[in-house]
Amino acid sequence: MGQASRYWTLVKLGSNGRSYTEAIAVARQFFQAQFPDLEDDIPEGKIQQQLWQIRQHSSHPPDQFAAELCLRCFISHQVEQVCIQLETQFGDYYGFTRHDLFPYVLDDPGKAGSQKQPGGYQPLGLQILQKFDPDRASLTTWTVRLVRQHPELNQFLLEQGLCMLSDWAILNDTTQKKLRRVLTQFHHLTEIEVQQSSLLLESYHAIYRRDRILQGQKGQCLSPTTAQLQAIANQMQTLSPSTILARLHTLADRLRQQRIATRGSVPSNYSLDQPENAALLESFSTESDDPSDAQQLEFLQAYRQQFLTCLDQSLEQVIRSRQQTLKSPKDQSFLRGLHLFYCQSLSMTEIAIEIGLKAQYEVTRLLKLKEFRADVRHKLLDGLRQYVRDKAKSYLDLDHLNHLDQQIEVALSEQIDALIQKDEAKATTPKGYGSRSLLAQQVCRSLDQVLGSTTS
Amino acid sequence: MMYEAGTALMERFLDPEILPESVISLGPATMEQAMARSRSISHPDRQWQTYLNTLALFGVAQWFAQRAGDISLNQGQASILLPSYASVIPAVCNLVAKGFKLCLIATTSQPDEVVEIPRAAIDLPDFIPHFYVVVAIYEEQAQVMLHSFLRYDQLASRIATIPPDEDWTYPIPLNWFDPNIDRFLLYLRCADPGAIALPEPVIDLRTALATLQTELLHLLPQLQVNDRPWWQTLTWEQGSVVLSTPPLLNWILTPQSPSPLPTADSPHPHLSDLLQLLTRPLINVGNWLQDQLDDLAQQLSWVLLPPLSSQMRLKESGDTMPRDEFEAIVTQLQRQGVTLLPDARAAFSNLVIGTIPVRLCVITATFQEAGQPPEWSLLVVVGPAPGNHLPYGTRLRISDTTGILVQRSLTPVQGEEYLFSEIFGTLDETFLVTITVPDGASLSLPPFSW
Repeated sequence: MGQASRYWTLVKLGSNGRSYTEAIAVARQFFQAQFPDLEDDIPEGKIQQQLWQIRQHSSHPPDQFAAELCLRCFISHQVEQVCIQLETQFGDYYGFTRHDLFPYVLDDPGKAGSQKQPGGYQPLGLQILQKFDPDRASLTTWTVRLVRQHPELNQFLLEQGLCMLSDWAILNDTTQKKLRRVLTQFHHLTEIEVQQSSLLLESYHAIYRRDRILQGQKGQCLSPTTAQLQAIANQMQTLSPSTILARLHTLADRLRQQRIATRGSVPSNYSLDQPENAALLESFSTESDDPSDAQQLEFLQAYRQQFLTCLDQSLEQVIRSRQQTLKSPKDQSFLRGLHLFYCQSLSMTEIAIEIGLKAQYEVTRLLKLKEFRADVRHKLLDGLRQYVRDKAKSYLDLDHLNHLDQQIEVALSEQIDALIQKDEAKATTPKGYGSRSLLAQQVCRSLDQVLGSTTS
Repeated sequence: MMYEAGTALMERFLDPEILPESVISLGPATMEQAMARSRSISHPDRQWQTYLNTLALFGVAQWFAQRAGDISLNQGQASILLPSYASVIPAVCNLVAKGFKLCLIATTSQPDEVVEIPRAAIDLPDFIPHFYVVVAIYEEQAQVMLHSFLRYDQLASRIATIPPDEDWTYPIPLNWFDPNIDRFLLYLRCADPGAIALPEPVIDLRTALATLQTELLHLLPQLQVNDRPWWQTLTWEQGSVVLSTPPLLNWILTPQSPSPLPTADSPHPHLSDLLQLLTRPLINVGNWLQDQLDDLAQQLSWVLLPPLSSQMRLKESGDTMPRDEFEAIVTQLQRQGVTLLPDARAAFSNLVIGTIPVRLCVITATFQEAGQPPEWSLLVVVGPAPGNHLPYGTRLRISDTTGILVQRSLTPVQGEEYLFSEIFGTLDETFLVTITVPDGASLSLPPFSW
């Protein structure tokens, strides 16, 4: 069977939300009759071209339909692959599987219906096929392109924090200067090619972006209408609307390649919130090699009583204001999440389970620990201001202030007895907290009070 | 084998971008508001840029509300909300948070390695911020993100290495910007705006305007009628003066209504009046109430008349105005329904316009209505020199910085000897009086101020 079976088996959505492949006899017979010697390794493009020709031009309607079914079968496999690809790349972190995606895109029943039913829904596979032009792109490219534009799938992914820009968004997003840079420096095109593209983009902007604003179109950018393509063609004076469309796609592809090549793909906050990666966090915040560091530590030593007082006040204020911006029951989840992280050292994934969230990214978004720490430091610095004698130096020199902020980060991450003398530490902290960072220690104290007062 | 190729291709094309947790989602109503604000701009690129800038402003305002409720953002002077700047400076200048001025640079969802900052925000003190903030806009997704920021002092120390582009932008390397937005918050929350010294205006705008006056009179009308970017018409020197002079910006961006009277004046009488108002030395008529003429009025041989309430007889010598003549004027004014305030003061000046001798009388007073700021009045009476007649077709025009307020012509129908008009303004307003005689010769007096 092998790869060829993709042309006669259709990937469908089962009632359990999983995909299954269904052999389509008509497609199989037809395909095997058309390509009896597949061992010969016929290029994919050629197979598709031939099927496409039959679908478009055969005088025998059953052949037309059979060829279409073969192509739709192929598309369904590609669509499934897109979902698998998304799951592999992002599912773990964002907490979705291919099965969450299938219902949006696996909707081809494999039945007749080339013509759009009046008021009826057209399966994605058929939509893809109707817009397909084998002279311009492979069927796989075309499928990926249209799946990428699928509104409901996009909405689902956006809610998870992933966005897929349409070609039109990418073109909207490109200035003439950027276009020139990308085409010359990244694609090494000739001046004439650059000029042609520049003119195309200018005409596209003048029509498409203007219409988007004038017509108040929001959300996903739809393909340009025939009227828009005609208007662009008129501006360009020479080209036909279908050529314009193809060139716009080509241009968008080029821009997209550069986008992908110049972008980091790992979420920057992925690892920072893991307790086991606290060291990493510290290495980020203590990048300073300023000789006056020692002096600044002295600053903290000098104000350590005020420091601790201010820290308590800051924590209380930051936790309270965070809680107030969250709607119930998120405010309670926030407090519990904070408690589980700082006081029980659970990982984001474990916390997700404990507080009934699906994925770790949801916990990350709820807790926003990096912001939390920053807010605490800022409140702390602001609170210390009243005690600081040499304000001009500390608060008027931004670099100085910045180093101070980093020093506080270090102090918060340090074990408590580094800052406070041991006896004092023992006296002020409950048993078992001693080995954690100062911040964790104080957060737990604050939370014990807040949670204690709400639960007991 | 073919299958692998397909997968590679899929990875290339299927490229979800990861939105950071700090991203701000804009609602449909906000998107619509931003679109509505940019619809009136006809130039397609500027329209889109204004739209993105507005999204940046709304997004940052929302970010402050969500992330830093302790900081209030003052958008009252935001350039993007002022029509005169919105489409001219492609950034959001003059936002204020805790005394710090911010300038938002709206960029595409994935900022380029170079950030285009308008020259105005780097070279013109009116627009220079404490912080430049790069705001990445995912327009299709209605998401906005604070990407990075740059302190003015850090930019200023290095800007000499970057020549500005001809389109009035500086290409600033993205790696100058600090992606640590928490640090930006730290500065706003804990530092004092004095920590970053901003430059004071160094050029004398009045002198610069006076030098460029003739060129601007010629060039600014072009900006009004064509859609080309300003940098294609003006030099930066000219542009910087215009950008620093709001009345000129307003003139350019206000469609001109056709003149109510057919005139042989310059094709853009208000622009020429405006330039004079902005550049010429002023005559202070407020001094008249203290029984004084300022130096300029003295140089121009103005003669101050005694208070109207005084019963003092006026001398009938050559240089002063005979009481009969002044009373005739007052009588005629009263017939026209103009009443003079008791403490009004008048002065006159004898002028020759072309070949026509003219006597110009100006009467001024100050008053205040309940609940209103104090105002002053300027009553201008153009009459013949003694023993002459004012020719029909003599015209009087009075302008302020917003437009031409009065245009009158002496016609036989009225059978009057005098042309007059009275206008009122707040104490900071100035007025330019221009008299044109039938042969086309005209004279603008130094602007009157209080």
